[in-house]
Amino acid sequence: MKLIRQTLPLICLSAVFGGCDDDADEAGAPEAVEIRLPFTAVADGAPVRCGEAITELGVGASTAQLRDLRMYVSEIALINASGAEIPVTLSPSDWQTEALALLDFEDGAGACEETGTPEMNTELVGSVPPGEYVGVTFSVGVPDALNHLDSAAAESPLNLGSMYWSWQTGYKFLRFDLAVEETPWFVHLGSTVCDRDEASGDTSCQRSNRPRITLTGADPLTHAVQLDVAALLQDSNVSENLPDSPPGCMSSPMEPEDCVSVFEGLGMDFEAGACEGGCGGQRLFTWAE
Amino acid sequence: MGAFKLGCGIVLALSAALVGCGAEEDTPFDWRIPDTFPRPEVPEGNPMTEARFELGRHLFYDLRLSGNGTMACASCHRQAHSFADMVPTPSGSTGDPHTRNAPTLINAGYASSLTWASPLLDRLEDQIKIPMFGEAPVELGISGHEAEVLARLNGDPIYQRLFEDAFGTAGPMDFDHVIEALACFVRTLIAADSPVDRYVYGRDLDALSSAALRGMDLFFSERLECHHCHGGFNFTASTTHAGSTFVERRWHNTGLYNVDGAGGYPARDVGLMAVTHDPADMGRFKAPTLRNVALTAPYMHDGSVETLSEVIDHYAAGGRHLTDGPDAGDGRLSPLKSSFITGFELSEGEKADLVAFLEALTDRRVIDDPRYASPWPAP
Repeated sequence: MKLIRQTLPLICLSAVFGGCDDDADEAGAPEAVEIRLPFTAVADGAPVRCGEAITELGVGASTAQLRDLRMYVSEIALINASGAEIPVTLSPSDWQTEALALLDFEDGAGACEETGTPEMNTELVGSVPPGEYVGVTFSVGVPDALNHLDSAAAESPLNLGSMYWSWQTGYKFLRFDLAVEETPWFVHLGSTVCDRDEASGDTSCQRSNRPRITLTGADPLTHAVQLDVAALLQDSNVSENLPDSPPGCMSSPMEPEDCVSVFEGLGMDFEAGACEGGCGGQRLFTWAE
Repeated sequence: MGAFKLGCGIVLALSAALVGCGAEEDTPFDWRIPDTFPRPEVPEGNPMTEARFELGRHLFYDLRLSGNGTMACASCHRQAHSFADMVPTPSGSTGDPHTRNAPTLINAGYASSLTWASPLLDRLEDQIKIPMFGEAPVELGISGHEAEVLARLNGDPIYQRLFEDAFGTAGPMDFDHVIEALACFVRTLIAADSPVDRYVYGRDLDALSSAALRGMDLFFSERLECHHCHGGFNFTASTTHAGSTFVERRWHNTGLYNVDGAGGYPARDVGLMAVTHDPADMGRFKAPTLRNVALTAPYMHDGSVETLSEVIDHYAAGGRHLTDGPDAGDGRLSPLKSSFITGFELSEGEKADLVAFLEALTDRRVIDDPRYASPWPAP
């Protein structure tokens, strides 16, 4: 707070006198340009929407209805021609804080009525220095420093009860919910095996479960990032569930039968709760055609 | 800037003086418990006031605080049953079955860890989110219906008035307000003045029957070992209060199940291990308070023991031996069982005495007082 109060008058002044821009030009620091990074969700090429059946899903070739598909992303950067990661400055809005954004592919229709919301958000809005970019990288998840705060009092988009996970006092990083002939099958990704430090009151989790995704070989400003949920679940059977466990994969260490293949689809080792040697094995994200 | 700040300060000070907002905050909240009894710890930012209590009471009993408008907190936490439920395991607003028994809310404000088994939850303000927003299982089922639920509540003039009284501003009320008010209400659900208290603190030496007195000796004996886990003023070691220095949190495996010969509990609920993933935490649950325990049957984390007499049988046997069914196994032989649960011999007369003592831990003050009852007209 102190810092902000002290720096604000300086910003006011320089804005008034127009000094900032000149200085920046002289120093050669490029102006930031606004960018929009689009995302789409498909199942084996077909758009995924509430109210439309997803067919031939997983090893059981199941038919399912979408119930929910939302995801927090953070630590977003573009990759330039020389391979450097250039951080994206996110523009604060209902969907974004400076630290993260919520992507929302459900509109609350059909089977999404139970947990969903009418509003959707399928792009990230921010700014980067002008340049040539050949890729994008981001983490799926809420950064640890924001993951265990009071969700009801948190700022949007961290104030959604349906994305909060009370039993681990953190957020669902990704929620992908299906109804398979009325039976729910969920993917809820979030940090697990959490404990609290008695002295500081801080919560930390042994299994971070935040995959860091990198896509290269296309201009991220003109190519959408595509989530292919059929690829994610290609080795899962959404018509079955480990008995006496929550439906689908809730990231619980107790349900490897439901989770291992989903975690592989996110590039992660289930037991480690992280990618081993990079998340390159992930199947969920590709460039859209 | 300076002038503006000064102006604001004067205006604020004046309005506080004129409307008297400050007055209530200066008056300590009346807990209505004996002076000798510790006060619950109140988190910074959610002070106890009569207005917050009243808002919380209305919310606690309001069916509109669920996604489909069919369930309130009070649906599973019934005043007449010491804010516990009568069924082994309840179902949520959408029919989702729960694997756990609804615990009593009595003295929840003193719990150093909340729910049956979580090392992460020690504030009612955090725990309350589980029944509100939880989805596995769905309880109140507010997730996905947030705007609808808030619109329902904020549309009622009663809440507009209660909210303004409680938070000093016009609405709309948000979920953080709902949670804070509910926490204020739950913190007042205190049992502190049972016959045992009246006897022990010397106010009434006739408060306990001779049977209850004999039962008290048994309870605190090294033969029965009850007090190791159910000790202290709140009859559970997992207790904290406004004057606490060190926080104690305890979970125990009581040999209720042993489905695999290695101490395993049924997969539907493995207790603390579900959160910590530590195999040593298999089947560990919190020792609940025994205050008002005679009102909170059935017992154990899954409501699988019907009466106090059967609870005592369980501990006398040093665990439970289930001979058939999917949960079959001999809990007496569990390698994960707490070392205090070794079994003991107890005559029928002694058992009756122990039950008499447990029944003398009942304080009906908040159970019978309309102050803690539903403020809404009966449907």
